[in-house]
Amino acid sequence: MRNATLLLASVLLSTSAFAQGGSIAVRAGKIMKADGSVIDGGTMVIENGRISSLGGADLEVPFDVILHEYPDAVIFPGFYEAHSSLGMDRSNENVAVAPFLDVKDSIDPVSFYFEDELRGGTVAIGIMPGNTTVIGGHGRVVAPTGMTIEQMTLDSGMGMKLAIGPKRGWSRSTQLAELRETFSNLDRDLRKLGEKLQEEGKQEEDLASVGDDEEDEDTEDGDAWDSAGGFIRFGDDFPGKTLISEEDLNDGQRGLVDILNGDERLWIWAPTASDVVTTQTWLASHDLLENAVLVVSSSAWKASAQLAEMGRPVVLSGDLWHVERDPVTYKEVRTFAPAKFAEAGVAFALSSVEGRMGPDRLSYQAAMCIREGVSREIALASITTNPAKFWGLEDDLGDFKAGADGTFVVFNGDPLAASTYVLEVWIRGTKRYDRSEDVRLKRLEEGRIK
Amino acid sequence: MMISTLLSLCFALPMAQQSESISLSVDRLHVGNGDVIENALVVLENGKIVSVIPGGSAAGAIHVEGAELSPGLVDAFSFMGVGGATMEESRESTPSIRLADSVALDEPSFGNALHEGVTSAYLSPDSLNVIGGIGTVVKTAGGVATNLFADEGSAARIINRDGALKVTLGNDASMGNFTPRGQFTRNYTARRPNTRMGTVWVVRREFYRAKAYQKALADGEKLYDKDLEILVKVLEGEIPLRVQARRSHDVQTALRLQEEFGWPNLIIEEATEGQEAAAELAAAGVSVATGPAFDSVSRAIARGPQASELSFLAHPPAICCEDLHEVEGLHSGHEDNGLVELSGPALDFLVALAPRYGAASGLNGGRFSEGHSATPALPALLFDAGVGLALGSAEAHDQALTESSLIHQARNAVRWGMPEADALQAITSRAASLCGTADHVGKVEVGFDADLVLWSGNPLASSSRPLLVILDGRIAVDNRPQQ
Amino acid sequence: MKPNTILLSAVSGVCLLAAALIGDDRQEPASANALLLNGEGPATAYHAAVIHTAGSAGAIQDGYLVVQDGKVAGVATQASDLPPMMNTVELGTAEIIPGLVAADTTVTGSSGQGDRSMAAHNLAADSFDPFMDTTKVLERGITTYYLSPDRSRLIGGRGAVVKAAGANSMLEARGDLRVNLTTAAWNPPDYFRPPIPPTAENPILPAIDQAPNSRPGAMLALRQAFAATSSGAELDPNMAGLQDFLASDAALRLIVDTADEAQTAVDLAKEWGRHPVLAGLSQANAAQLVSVLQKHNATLLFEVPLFISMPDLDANWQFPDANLLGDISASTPVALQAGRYGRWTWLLEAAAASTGYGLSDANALRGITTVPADILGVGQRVGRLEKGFDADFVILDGGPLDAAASVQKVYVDGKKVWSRKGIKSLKSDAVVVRAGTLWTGDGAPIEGGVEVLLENGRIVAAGRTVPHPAGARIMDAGADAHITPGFIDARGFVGTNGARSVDSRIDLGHLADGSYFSDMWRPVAQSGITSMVMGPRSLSTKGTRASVVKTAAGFESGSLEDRFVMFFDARSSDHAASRKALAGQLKKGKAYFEKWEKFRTERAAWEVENTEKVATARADKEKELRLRLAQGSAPKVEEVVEVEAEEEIVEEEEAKPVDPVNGLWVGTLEHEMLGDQTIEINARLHHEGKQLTGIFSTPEAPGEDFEMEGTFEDNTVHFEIPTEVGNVTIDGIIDAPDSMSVKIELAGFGSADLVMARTEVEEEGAAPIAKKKAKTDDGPQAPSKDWNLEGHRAMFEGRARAVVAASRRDEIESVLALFAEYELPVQLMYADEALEMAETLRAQNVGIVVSPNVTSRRENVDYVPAAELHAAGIPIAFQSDRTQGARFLPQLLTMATRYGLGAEQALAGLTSSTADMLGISDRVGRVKAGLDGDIVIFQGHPFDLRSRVTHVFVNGLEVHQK
Repeated sequence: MRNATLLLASVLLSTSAFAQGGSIAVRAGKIMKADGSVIDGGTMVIENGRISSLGGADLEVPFDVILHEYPDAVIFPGFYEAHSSLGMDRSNENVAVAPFLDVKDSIDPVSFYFEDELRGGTVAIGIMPGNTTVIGGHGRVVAPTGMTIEQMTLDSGMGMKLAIGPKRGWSRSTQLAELRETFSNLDRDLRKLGEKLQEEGKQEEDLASVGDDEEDEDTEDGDAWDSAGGFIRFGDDFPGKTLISEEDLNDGQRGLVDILNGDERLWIWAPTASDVVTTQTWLASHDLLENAVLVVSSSAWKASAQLAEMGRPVVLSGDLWHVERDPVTYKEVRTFAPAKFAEAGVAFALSSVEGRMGPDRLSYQAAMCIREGVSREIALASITTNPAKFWGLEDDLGDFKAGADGTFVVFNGDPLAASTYVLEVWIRGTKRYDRSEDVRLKRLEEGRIK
Repeated sequence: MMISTLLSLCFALPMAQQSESISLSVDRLHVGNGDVIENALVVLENGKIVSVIPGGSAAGAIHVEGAELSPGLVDAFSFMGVGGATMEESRESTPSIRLADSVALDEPSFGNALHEGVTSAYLSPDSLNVIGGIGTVVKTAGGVATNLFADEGSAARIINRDGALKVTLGNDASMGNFTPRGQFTRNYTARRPNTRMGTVWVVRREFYRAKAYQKALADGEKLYDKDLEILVKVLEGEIPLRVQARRSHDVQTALRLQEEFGWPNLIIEEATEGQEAAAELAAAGVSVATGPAFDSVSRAIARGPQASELSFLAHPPAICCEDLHEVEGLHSGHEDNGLVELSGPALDFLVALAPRYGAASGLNGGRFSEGHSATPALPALLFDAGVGLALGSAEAHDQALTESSLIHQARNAVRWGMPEADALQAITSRAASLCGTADHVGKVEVGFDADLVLWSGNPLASSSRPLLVILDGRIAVDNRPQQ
Repeated sequence: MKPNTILLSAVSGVCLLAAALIGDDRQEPASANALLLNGEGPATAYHAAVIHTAGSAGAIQDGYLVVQDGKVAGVATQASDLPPMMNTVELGTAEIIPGLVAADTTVTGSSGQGDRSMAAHNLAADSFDPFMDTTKVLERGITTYYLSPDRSRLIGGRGAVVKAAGANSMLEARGDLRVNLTTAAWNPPDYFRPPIPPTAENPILPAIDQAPNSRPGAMLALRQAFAATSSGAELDPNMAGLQDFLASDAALRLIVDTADEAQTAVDLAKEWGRHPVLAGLSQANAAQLVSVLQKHNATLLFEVPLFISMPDLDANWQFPDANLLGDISASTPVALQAGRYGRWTWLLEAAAASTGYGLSDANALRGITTVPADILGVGQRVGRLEKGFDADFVILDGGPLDAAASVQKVYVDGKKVWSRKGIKSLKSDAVVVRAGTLWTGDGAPIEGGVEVLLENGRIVAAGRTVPHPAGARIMDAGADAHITPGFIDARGFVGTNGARSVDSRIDLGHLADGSYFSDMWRPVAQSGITSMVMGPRSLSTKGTRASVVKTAAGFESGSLEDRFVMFFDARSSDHAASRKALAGQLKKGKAYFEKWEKFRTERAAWEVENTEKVATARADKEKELRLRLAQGSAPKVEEVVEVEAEEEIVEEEEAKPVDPVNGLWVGTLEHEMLGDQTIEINARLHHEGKQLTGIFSTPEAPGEDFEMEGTFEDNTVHFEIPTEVGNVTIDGIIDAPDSMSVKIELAGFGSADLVMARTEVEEEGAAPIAKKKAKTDDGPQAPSKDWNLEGHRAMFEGRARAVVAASRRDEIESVLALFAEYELPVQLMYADEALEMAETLRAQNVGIVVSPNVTSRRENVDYVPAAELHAAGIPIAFQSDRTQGARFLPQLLTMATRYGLGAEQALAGLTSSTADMLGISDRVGRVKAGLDGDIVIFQGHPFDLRSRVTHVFVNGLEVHQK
């Protein structure tokens, strides 16, 4: 119910942000789809911010839309940053368990981070609370442009941040203990609440009923117990479970209940291989496997098998190489994590956040994958369609298809080539970036730094 | 398997490779002078290129689908094999010291460079002295293990012993120095100069002495001063002069000095803020060898040694870890089993403890502190202004990252607006001419050294890697896909 | 394909076969006899000299350990007990012990994590890293180990037990409860959890100040917790955790420091009805402890004091009583672990050391196997070699308590999980030198066959016969060989290259570090001069400090640490002035020395009374730091450093000397067979004593690294791989530091030479991370060093001898008077007129370092002044006064013997008497047990022009001809 309202809200907001002037047609030297396939001299028609048709040079363009032509440019769906905690002033509360937080209150629309991402051709970023937490709060998918968070928002229901990897200064046991404690507390509170509500209910009953109450109570209880309804949809039954409604809970509890109810997509920070294993068991024990997206670091490649077995999406944040020393030979062993994931058949997304080339080079991360032998399709997917899938927005984002968002980026060449750069970025049919008007970039180019 | 491995290690493998000549037929050949030949056959014999046949192909020729061939890259300015240890710091002016005599040709950095396609490089003396000695040009591999310092010749690593004389303007030569006071003058930092003025003053002093010496010689006096001999050679243009100048006003100073002494053969190194003096440089017809592009990576490098290089951090005794654990920034790799990763303040602190790393980078700031208005667009800007230009990697190759390699500098230059063809020349033929080896290095032409790189695609694409690196006609690196 | 290629591929084929036959020792086993074996799988018997079952059967001599299906199927005492056709692995003299069990580790559970003082719901199992590389655990013979929860909280949580290898390695996820009663657990951070959102009924309360801040506090807190669990009241999660524990049968681990803490601990255990395991006790009063332990059937987890290096422990830290464990083990099972200043993996060492505290050998072994296994609640699975137990066992090349024995192979669940491959061995290499005659340095030689045993750089024994340790190298120099002590040059300049003066701050001793590898030193060493008093060339009244150095030393043993000789010059035309100057020096020196003495005494006193204060202060500081960190605020670097500096003095001492061979060697192979090709070869070499491991690789064959065992002796590297077609051998000689010339012999199919250079030196252990900051405190501070007077100070402290150059009689007299005044021993140099005052000199036992011109001429007759001095009963010492020239000194003396210098005198002047004069006779100068392994071997009489030096040993290491 709450989610419904959220969804509605987000839709309203987003349309308010991107609906106007969203009808155009583009024709370019090349239109490259997310899988790398190319339509030479392709044409794409966008109406009210959504792609209505895609075809070759001969595609008929409605008379009422303006046609933009880029004869020697490449048009590409753009890059997608699956998981990032930048663009906020501070990414974590020091309260370990904060399911009631939402990044929308912290995102700074004018921070340079978004500018850099946009300049690099990123069209959507999943902003999540940071990693030094236990339960971090809600994240959302935004476009790296807009003056208000409402304008930026593409989807406010991205999910909830969890961390299995220890919070700074904590050990992994402390982290796990905190997590368990949180949910056992919840369970205790709910049972208490249930009893209380039942008490009240019973009193009303007493007022109403006459004669043999006891049976009534029994049946009453009985009904209450075996009926599947109610806001709490997890765990074994307890007295008054069904009586608990959303309003009876405080923000903290509500967030946790959403998690256990399976209403939240869980973005779980599990940097190391061992964290991955722990995560797997924890998710299984709460039967939440289906909702999980794992955010890992390159050292998690050792758990590729487990990741494949879980079959859940993986976001690889930070450096793509894992470096360690063999304790006996002292040799430095370098492993390219994405290659391992690809081998094991793990669906992964890349992130430029702590990448070697800074926040504006998602393309570079993908290029590195190809360099190290990952197929071009997988490399491209890891920065386009996969993130979109992980967000559950594959119908709207990630690739060109009829009905999807009219979002695209105009490159002066192959999107992954080191030498190419972004000419324009269009989001839902409106131009959001134009290199010729990029003042900061100009100053760099002309060397007028001071 | 041990023994068979040993034998194959010793004999079998090379047998397979061994042949009098290698020939490659490639889809695209970047000659190095800007031209590109589609479908060419290149034949190598005894370390030289004996024929380049456009459109040709031959049975048994090495061929990889879609691969492109370029000359072996030439690093116009690097510190490979150079460190504080190779520098004589007792005096601020040591013109007669030859890097060729002290450079550590077995440093891993050469391997790193080779694997990124660099086959020859100008090694600059470290920038600790005002007049730092004579840099040298070497191949990044080959040579006879027993005699790495053999003189010019195909077997030798060193291909141009007298590359250029190094002069440093700006911080590096003066940083950390203090005026000798009291008796503690045994410290190398107890020397002049300690200001920019002082640095330039030293240069003037030395070259005026050189001029006087030159005149005296001309008057038939019987003199010999090994230092001044070198400076005279510089004045006569026999040895090029390389001035490391980062701030724009250092560049202008260098140009003023050139007018003053009429250095016939001046090259500016790094020119981190060179774009602000581009016009003057072009007017004076002075070429520039740039340092690493100013992106996040080379910033990190300029910042100095990283944890991975402080090898002792890899294996602290297990007993420490429990205590380290409480310290912010010390996160043990696997809880407490003895391996510790460092970050944050602890790392900063340890880095500050690290041994002097070569002045151009690291602890005394160097480029890092002199790049106030550095821009990654520098090469493009200089090029547009018509400045003769080659790219260098400075100490970037100390790390085995493609992001810190020479080819990356070129890619970066293109990304910021330099034409591809010229960027490629700036790390091949033009670089070679700054190194004084243009007659046999830097192009794929008949008679040139057989230094070649076979790329998996366009050399300037991040997604390409060297499949083959051929040096003096030998396959030095082989990353070809097995089929 | 060229003919030799065919040949080679053929060879490699053959060798491949050979390789298959050599190498691994597990062939397909035959089916097993059902009578003895009830399992299905193949069984294997391991035949060893001794099998320590650590169980009821005790140690079985010459027994067979039978393994099947990853379990122990039994232990047979003779082959006839085995089922027929049993697949048997012969282990020769090796011994088998159960896989060791580590009862406490630092793998997990660092201190002060989280903000709860009592966190019974913390599970160490959560910190388990299944991907951890356990090589360093296995190589110590440990197959099962404990994972600790938080170490310094009152209730740290539940421990866990895991195996170091194998598929499902988690044995016990909810192990014992760790309760820390020591002061380490005091003053935990405040506990603060703001209610979200705060409401009227649960408002934001101030942070809770958690117990304990004292021992009563601790007990109170624990009792309350216990009460809470049994009160039936609703529990907060970690109290619930405590309840789980009480419901389980897991043990209660109590960390205590002193006997009275132990008392408190067992009381608590009684109240909770738990079996107490006392850990951490390292310095308890035995009597008290014994009574405590006897009263309640407790188990003791004893920390054997083992040290990685010197920790700065306060004055009242003491070693446990010698019979402590003897008394205790009578009534109480004792588990062992290395103390907190050692490494947790040192179980074998701990066991060996524990016998020094009265533990029987049998109990010592149980202390690292069965007892810990029982403590950890896995005693029914691991820790013993009995039927039905997991087949976790370790093969040692000696007895488990034998310091020299080292782990060879480790098996878990019957599978080999680690084997040494010659990586490490504790054996040292010994040399026995045989010769005909032995000149001990004193008086007449011992003749008719003698032996000298050199080991670990020292002379262990010398005489007619000496013990021959296992693996010792016997070097028979022949019947007419003479052994003499290494010669001492009383004054030379090899290291200083004859510099006139050297910065007084430089410790010259280090100039000789690594002299063994130096061409500059070698000729001198080979001439028989093994020690040299090395200083600057110039002499002055101010005095110059010289160090006593070795002419062929390793990188750390260059000098006799802290032994100096102070040279003064009293010769001058203006006698009064020079005398005055000399007097002034001694006066200054004395004053400086006294300043230090004063400081030392004051400091010592101050230390004693302040240690307590310092300790608490430090504790508070750390606590505050932790607190801040727990709240996520970074400490300032200085703070970090201070803590490190304090806690890691360990590491400084850890810094290891540069080893001649360990590290990465690279070289390029060239060979006519290869034509123009060259192959780069990389070898990662690591030696322990003679055992050498090489990991070879080449860019030509990426990933095809392979490992070989070889030997490393006197800087020669030798690898040999037997094949059916002959031997493939690799011989390398380290002829200069970091450079080695190598010859590869390919089973008679040709050979190749190359030179390899060392590109990186292996980092063994760790180098110091942070320079230890001079801690400034309010105590007395060290006076500032005056380098020009350090030598003088050494002189007064008896670390240095004074040698004064004086020639004229009056000079000599005033010198003697002067030094007598300061009660300092003094030796003279030159002293031309010494003979005239022989009595005085004899009386004051003053020796003379004679001029390098040993022979001089008087009335047209050659004579040797030294001989006359000696005749007059004055000790003499010879000096070369040269740099490289020093190597001619022995020959010079041989000449001198032609002019009246007796051989004994000459030898004494080069060895014993010099050592006595310079106060270094406890290290060098004689062939005597305990002295440095410096000997010279002559073919023929040492002072015969016909004989020559054939071998020279310095610090027990032979100096080879180049």
